[in-house]
Amino acid sequence: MITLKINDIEVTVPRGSTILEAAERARVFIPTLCHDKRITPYGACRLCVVEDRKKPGNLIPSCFTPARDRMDIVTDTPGILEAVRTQLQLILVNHPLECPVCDKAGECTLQDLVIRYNITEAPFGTDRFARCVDRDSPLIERDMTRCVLCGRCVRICGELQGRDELEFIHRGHKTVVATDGGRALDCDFCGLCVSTCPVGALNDKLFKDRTRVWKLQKKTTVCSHCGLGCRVDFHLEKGQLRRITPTVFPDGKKGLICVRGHFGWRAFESPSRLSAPRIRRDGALRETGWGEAVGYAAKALGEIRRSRGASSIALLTADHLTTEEARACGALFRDTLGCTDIGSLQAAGYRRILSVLDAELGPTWEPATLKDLNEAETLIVLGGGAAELHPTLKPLVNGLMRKEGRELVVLSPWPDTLTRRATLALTITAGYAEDFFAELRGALSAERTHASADIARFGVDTCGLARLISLLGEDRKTTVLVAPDPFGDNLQRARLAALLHGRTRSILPLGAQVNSAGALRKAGLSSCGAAVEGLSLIEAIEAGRIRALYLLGEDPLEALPEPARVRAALERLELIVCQSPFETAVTDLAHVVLPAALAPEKGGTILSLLGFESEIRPVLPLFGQSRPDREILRDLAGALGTGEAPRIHPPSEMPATTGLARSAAQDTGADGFSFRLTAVPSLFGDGLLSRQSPDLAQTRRGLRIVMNGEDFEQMGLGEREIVEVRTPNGSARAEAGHDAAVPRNLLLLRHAAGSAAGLSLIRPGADVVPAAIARIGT
Amino acid sequence: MISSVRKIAYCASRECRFRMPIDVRSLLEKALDELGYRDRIGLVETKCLISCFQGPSIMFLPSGKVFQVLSEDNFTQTFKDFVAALQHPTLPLLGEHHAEKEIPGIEHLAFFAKQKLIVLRNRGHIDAESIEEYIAHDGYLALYKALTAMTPEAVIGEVKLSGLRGRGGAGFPTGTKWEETRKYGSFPKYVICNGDEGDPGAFMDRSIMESDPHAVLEGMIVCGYAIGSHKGYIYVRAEYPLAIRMLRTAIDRAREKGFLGRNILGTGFDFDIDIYPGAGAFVCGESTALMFSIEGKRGMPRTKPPRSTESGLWGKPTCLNNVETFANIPQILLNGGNWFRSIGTADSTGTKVFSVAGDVKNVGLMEVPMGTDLRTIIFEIGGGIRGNARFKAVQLGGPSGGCLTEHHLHLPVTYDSLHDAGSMMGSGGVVILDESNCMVDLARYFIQFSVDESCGKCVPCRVGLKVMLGTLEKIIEGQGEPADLALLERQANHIAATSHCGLGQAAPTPVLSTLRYFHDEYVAHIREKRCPALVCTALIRFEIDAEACTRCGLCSKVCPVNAITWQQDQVAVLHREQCIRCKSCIRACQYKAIH
Repeated sequence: MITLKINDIEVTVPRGSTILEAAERARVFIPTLCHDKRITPYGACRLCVVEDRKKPGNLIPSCFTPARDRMDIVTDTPGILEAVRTQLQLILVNHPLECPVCDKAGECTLQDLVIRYNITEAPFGTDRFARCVDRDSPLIERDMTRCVLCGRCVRICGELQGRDELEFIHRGHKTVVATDGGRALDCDFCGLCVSTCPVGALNDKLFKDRTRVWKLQKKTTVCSHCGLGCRVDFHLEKGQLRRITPTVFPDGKKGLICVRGHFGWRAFESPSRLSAPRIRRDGALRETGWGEAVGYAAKALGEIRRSRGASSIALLTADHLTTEEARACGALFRDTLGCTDIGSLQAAGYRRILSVLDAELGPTWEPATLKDLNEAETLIVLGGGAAELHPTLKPLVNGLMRKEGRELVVLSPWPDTLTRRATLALTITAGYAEDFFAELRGALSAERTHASADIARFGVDTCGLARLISLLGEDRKTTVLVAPDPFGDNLQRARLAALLHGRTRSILPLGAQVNSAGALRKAGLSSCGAAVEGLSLIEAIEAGRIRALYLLGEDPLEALPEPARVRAALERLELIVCQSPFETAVTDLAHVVLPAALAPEKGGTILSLLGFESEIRPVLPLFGQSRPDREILRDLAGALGTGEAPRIHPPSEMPATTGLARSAAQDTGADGFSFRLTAVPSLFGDGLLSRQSPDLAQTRRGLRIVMNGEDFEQMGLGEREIVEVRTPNGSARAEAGHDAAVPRNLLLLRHAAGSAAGLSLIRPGADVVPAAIARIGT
Repeated sequence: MISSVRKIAYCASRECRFRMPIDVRSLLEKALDELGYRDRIGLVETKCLISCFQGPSIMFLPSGKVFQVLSEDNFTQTFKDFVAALQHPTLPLLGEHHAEKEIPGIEHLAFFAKQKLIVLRNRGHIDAESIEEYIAHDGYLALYKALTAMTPEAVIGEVKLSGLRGRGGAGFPTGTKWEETRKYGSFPKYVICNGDEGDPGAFMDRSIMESDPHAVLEGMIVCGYAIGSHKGYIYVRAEYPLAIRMLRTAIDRAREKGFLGRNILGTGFDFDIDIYPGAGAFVCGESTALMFSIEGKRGMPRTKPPRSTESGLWGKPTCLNNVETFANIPQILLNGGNWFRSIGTADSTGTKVFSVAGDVKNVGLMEVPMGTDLRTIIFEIGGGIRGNARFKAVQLGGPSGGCLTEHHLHLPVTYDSLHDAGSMMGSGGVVILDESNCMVDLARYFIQFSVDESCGKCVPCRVGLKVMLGTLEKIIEGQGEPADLALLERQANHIAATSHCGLGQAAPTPVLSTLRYFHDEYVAHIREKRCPALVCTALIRFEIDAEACTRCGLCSKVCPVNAITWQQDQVAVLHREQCIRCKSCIRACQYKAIH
């Protein structure tokens, strides 16, 4: 710790703090424009100059200069004020004063500083250098005439998001921030650049020209696009949502956000929102009142339970329920109705991994938290797609990796986002990931300290593996992230994680939906029964064991492979109740449709997968006649009557076997199929909520396949060409793209969820299928 | 005596090619053929004989007699005459240096007499592409000494003892830098040679790289040994293709001979060097920007701390020195720090190479001991002002340096004395200006350079310089107001005080120094709307002074648009409505009658 004076106020700060941080501690204002606490200081705007009384006249930029013991800093000498005022005047030379039409007015750092320093005249006139406005990019508009070249967008994109989409081009006064070749943005669209821009140069297109910032009311809540629990601010104008931004924490540091959180909010007002309850009458769905709809559902459920037994009812939850709702749901279905099959489609991977860990590690086990993540010297990721499932993991991990000596080990069958940032990337041959994890577990549990040559048959680099094993042996804080495969079995990686828990005590399963963690760990609404996995559910329906399906925001038609088979199975059911915020493919088959509220429209407790518990209050008004799930469930319970005393259900057991036949990677040689295809999660969200956003849909651009650049060239494909993809299961049209990091002969299939054609390509339970592609018209 | 000549070195540098685009080698071969000495005398292609004002020239070795190639025509005959003169010393020597009795050796020429060659000692004497010739001139002996007889600490000690300071401009003590880099326990470490010589008119580093590349390599290897590094980079501007070629050749040869690569000289020390051609940004001469450039990033200076010695290239400890600094190292190790210390002044030891340009008779490179005064450099070595005009100012240190006046000619050239006088050593560019130069225009020229070369990172340099350029242009255009002087000063001080890197901090120096020493000229521009040096076209009235006019009519003859009418024995009449202000008449009038 060091002690110094800022404007005669004595402060003590940790060694290595900057003068700016010390001034903040002393509550002394220092103007900054190019500084954002999320990224490393840069020193471009030169507004943060201060003086040390011991060296008068020597202006020190405070944002990056380390504070030293016994410094005597002043921030308000006439010389400093003059320098700051001159600096602002110089910045204004190239900044159009179009505040009346600028969306940033009212929250613009430059505007605030100009007012604070009373800049009323512009003594420096010079020819303004013409810069362009990019209106072509989706979601983000870049008005470079307003840019003050603070470089925050360039740095946050490179440093945190790792995309380097923006860069300075040209030099001197001709410098502009641009993409390569001046093309439109083609990036992650995380919006971090928009969130950091101190002026109105980077604009959220969904917000632009809609309103003025001072009319907005800000409400902080938790983002509901995935289970990571990022804090976001909803900006509302008279109850109408206008935009979402990352929260500013009490220490002045802004949070992180991703494309779904930033630009996915129009899903809340999607045209497919269900506004009124419906019931099937005379073969067609008709709108009705709540009383009748709930009564209908209760009656039908009761009848099936009486006639077919409680085990013929299955419940699928998208984990959009708050903890309280999940508890009520568990009480109703498991205890009152006696339902034995409870599962999830969208959070299947998370639920599976967590249940294996629970079973292997016992009740006292706790998943890793954000603190573990922050402190980890080694991060190990089992499985691919961690940062695709939870996009803000990427800036989070990139931020952590800035520190010296951190190791990021990624064991993935395909080049996902984190693989590119990894200090040790172990690529497993696609289709062999689970086998490899089982083998690695065997090797580690046998206390073997060297990588067996045998393991190399999974295509994994043996030297890299040896490095991983030696890293595990070192005394380093380690956190293991377990990323589920969306369509595969995740048993082996979960068991490997359970073994690693013995060494690291810090395991974090990924793939949670907004309150999966709360439902499982607080409300006990865990998966149970034989029919919780996608395929076994369909088999159970086909076998006639399951007769009724209660869907809480889930749609098997949009999430399971082989949609034709799923549809046929669903059509056999006696009852389908859709309690969902959205009209989806399955709604047409439903007997009862109950419009449910979305997470921001209801209150309750939410537990993020990083262990943060938040009490949320409704920030949006209810849509149409939709109601929060707790009210629907309460009324349903009332209508069902409590004839029997609630039974205490024994603790959930881990589903015995998966029933998932592991992918036959051996199939690859099949006739006419020269590629192998694996479905991978998408950054833009595969969940129901994300898919409902028109803006995310625009950036998803439908079904896409990504292949190695040489394969792409060999096929003679053009950029974004639509090709025909064929597998033994089906065929679909998809946009083709290339990526040098993808291994030869591998196809990554994105955005299969929600697309019947995409889902038809995949085989249930298989992570890899043989595939072929053909140009359309040849 | 031609029979005593062993070798003839001839200059094939870019300057000489510009001066006279002829193939000296084939001319020499032809002449020697005719004399019958073709097999007995070796021809050595050197990149610079440093007497650029005479180039291309040839030097007879070992005697050091210099012969200036004046034209292609009749070369063989003049060459024969010269050879005859060598034998019969009564014939006059060609070029400016006429000798009455004897053709002087190179060391007796006025241009060389006051110089002390350490860095440039091998120029012209060796074929830069031949490692054997370098070795024959004690090459790699210092490396051998360091690797076999000295500990890294002893090497650093010797360099510290020598008092060598960075020749790139800032003058940071080299030994201290090496010691710093050695101190950090993070590996690998890197050695970088900064050959991104960007100052307009400065070419000493290029000359060293072209004419003695092995000296640079040797300095770098020694540095690698001293700091514990195994990898060096030479960052050379891509505009120096010959330097790059010479360095490439030198690296290949050194690898073949075991001076580079694994197990150097069998001592177990490994070191290798790569060349990284820059893309021509001036700011990449700044150390951190240069490192970003090598990393493949945009060349922009970064914040310090940490210093490069702690976290430089790829985040690892890096020792970056200038070409000239490295070229000094072998001599320091061979002759000892004390020997080096004995040259120059107490605070600025050794020699410094200057590239002298402008209105001086002898332009070219000159290496003088530190502390030599400006008068010696300009009037003795430089031969005084060309065309016997009056000396007006000397501009030192490249575009960010300051202008000094007659009153400073006594100044010994050291890092500190120049700084105190409001200029700087810089990399060693010296521009001599005679009275035909307008200082306001000169300031504008240098600010324009800085505006173009600013990387655009920080506000004062990016916008401030541009604004300052606007003010200067306004003054030059005759729109200046009295308040502009204070404004200029305010802008200049602001930029100097708040810019991020050396480029911005030093960029206003030309303005500040001219404001300080040539204030009157600014005042003349602003108040009298007059450019005393008749440079700023907008401020020339184009009037013919009847008293000064000798009625010669030359102005009328040179006027391209017939705006001047003249009749025999009459004062010429200038018709301003036709005048295009081309200044042809002003240049033609020897009596300064037009202003």
